[in-house]
Amino acid sequence: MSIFGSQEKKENSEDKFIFPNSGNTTSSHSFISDDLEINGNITGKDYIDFNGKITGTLKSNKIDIRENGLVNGEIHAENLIVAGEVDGQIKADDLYIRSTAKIKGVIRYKNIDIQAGAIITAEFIKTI
Amino acid sequence: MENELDHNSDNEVNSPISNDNGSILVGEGVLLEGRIVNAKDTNISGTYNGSVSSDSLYISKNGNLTGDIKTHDMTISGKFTGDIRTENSLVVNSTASVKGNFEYSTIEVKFGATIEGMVKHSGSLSSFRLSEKLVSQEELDTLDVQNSDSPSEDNN
Repeated sequence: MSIFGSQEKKENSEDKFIFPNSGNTTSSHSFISDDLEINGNITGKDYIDFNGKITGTLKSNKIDIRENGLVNGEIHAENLIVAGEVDGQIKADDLYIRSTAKIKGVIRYKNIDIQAGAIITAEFIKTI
Repeated sequence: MENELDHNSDNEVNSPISNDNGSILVGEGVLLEGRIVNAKDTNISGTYNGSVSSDSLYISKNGNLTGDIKTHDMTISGKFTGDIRTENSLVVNSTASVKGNFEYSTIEVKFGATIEGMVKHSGSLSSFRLSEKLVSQEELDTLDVQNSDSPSEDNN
């Protein structure tokens, strides 16, 4: 039953937005927000958190195509999670397709995991 | 008792799997070739070459099926080669290795499974949004809540 300080809203001292990798210089974490539309290619070496739209090629070690993400073209990744929409070619070592995903095209994978609910019309090719 | 089965009337056979209408089991080690039509439950634990039309079809870990399949629900833990049309669900477990053409309504593939060939969602393509957003069920639910008396959350 503290009276003092009860009217002050100090709860969120951590209100400021912090980029997930700030301060960490060994890995790069790229974020593509959902209002970005890209025509062309993105090539990275680390992690891409993709929420935007791209017509072109997306290439990196680890890529997350989020629910809002839309890819028209190609994706190359070692570790790929697709929750959004892809029309084109996918090449991934470990591919996780979430229930919200919609995929059309060609899928090349080493390991694949598909959640029920995903809508896929594609040719599946297992690579070695 | 078992030997006296022959003396019973033709329709009554007390086998553990023949009691249910429409069930067929191809047991481990058995090789069967042919055509299965109008079954309810089909379980392939052995090797079967031929077509299957069954409500549900299960290929167990040691099962091996080659042929054309028409089912409502199908679960594969073993090997399959051929064409599958499932009107409802297709589940490919981690031990499975499947190759062919697949048409499904719901597909689930567990990490470790091998799946090769054309995979097609039945009634697909129309559900692609291109660039326009579909209203998700969650969003619809939210709208419903907002339309009715919105329960204000009072934190006392």
